[in-house]
Amino acid sequence: MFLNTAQKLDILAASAKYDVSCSSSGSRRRGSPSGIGSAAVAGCCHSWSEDGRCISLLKILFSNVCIYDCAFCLNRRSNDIPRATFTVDEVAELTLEFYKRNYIEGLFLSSGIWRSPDDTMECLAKVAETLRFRHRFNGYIHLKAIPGADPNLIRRAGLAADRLSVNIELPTEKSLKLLAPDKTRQAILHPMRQIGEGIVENRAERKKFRKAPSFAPAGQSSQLVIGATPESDLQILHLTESLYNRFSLKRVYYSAYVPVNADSRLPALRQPPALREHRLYQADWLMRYYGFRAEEILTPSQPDLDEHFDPKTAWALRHPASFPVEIHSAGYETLLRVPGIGVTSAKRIIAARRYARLAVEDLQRIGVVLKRARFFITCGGRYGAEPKFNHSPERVRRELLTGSKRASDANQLRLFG
Amino acid sequence: MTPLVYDGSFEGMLTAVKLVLEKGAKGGEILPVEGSEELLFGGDRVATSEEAARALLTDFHCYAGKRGLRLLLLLFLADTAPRERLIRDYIRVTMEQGKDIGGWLTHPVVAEAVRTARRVAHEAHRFTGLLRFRQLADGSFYAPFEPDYNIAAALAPHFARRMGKERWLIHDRRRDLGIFWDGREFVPAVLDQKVENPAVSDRENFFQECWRNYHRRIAVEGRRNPTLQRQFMPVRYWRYLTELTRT
Ligand code: SF4
Repeated sequence: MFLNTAQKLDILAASAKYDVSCSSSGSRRRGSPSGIGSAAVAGCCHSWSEDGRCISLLKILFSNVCIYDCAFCLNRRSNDIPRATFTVDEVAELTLEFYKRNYIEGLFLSSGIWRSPDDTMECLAKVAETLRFRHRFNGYIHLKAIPGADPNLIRRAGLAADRLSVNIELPTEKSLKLLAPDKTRQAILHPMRQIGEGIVENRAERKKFRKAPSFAPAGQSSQLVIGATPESDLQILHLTESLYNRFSLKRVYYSAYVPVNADSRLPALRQPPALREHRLYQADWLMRYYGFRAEEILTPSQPDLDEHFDPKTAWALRHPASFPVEIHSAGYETLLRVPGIGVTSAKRIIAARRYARLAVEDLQRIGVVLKRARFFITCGGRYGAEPKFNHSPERVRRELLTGSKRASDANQLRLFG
Repeated sequence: MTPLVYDGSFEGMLTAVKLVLEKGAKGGEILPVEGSEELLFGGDRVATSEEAARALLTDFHCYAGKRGLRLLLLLFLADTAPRERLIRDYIRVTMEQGKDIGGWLTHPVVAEAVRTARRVAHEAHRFTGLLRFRQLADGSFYAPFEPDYNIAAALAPHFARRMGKERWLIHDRRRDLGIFWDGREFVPAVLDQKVENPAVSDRENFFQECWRNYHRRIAVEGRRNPTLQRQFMPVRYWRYLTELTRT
């Protein structure tokens, strides 16, 4: 059957939608006068789809034909669905034309394994090379690295792309065996290690020779499915932590399992575990930006994230001895540990206290949300609110719980349901 | 003190601010020409002096640095807010303190100025993503929009970096102002006749249709959440968002 570009786009966008990474950040490319595009470090959302997710990149599959049969995947071999495969030029043209109209920041290209890992990887690399070197496209390019592909092809991909990612898919080898029988942990970790080392080497090289070509300058990321298998949140956070530390990953994405296939190996869920996904992202954030370790966030006796409290509040409730935090003298890192105080609030507090002493009411005025924070802080020795947390943690817990119940019923469920 | 009326330019406003500050009195109303018709007894017209403006900025820059200058510019783009008062007071307090006051968020003048500037910067940042270009029959690109603030000039350098070799026009339809990039430099344009629907290139409709379909396709049905979508893309911007308009 012959399909035109628009029909292929239809099929291959629908097939890509469960991939979660939307980030276009981390790369800085100057627009060259003869080329098109530039990539800003902060990343940029261009639109939001009906499910409220940011659209930053043209996220498509090169092909949804696949020789594998992963249980959770729409594109698995055993599903009877319309199939399509782009040509290299079709993807390049769509990317360029979308980019010029400011629909997107760049391309996020993944693919089913059609024919073989090598064939697939080669096509992805070719798309990136065509955009980057033929059309001098300086926008963002994120490619999936295909487990089992020739390291040379992965190297080529990295020389043209901003970011590479290998999906870790599931938290443990056991789950992988069960749900993605064609893949092994080893086959997944192998390209991850290669890319990680490639990035480190390349950084060193570029320090010496500024003109050296860059290799995946925006780093590598990965993704796993949440809720299709029985792992605890602690197991997941340990995995994430080691990915950050051992392979210097930039980001790990969590994708709440959406049942697309009827399969006896999969759990029956009425709804995707969206709140759990949200909590994992919060915990992940604590590890990346707030200096928390996985074992601070969860413990073997409490291996799952709390439904009612965000992970930082949950941590604070377990550590009365770390509070109250004195707003006038606490350092940045300590301020960040207060529930409800984020990066922006901490910075504002530090800036504002240089000019004047801050009362609790002043905090509100400079935009610090006190709903949770007030129980955990003092301003010049005065408590932000009664009950004092380190005197009666249980009462604060109850207070926060009723507050969060009221808010979450109205808001969170609407936002994350 | 009689209100001062200036020509609407940034330099004109700074000239007026300098006059007010030299008088030393608190208050001192400053208005652009276009807003001054309602003054019952008229105001004193200020002759714009580039020299005075520069002198004031240099003094201000000593204390407030680059960040302070950026704040003034953002405030100036906030043409729907009481920007003259904010800029006047912000400069005054800076001079009185003799230091950068940017972080003094508990001070009412600083708080209001920073909040307003943040809103302008936020809208400008939003439109680096939300502006939509269409290709016209002559191959150039055209992007109409109706921002709350006068941010076209703040957006232009971003798009010059992004699409340097194309020719394009960003059109603020609310103010009938435009900025044209001819492939080498900017040409500010006052667009008096309303450009309604300029003829588009052959393949424009095809790419628009592709984008609309893509946008529909990429949403996960089980997680529909229009409230969240609207929070990020306020309905007042929808008119020019290709993906949300039906043909
Ligand atoms: S390899 Fe597995 S997850 Fe990837 S497309 Fe094929 S079936 Fe789906």
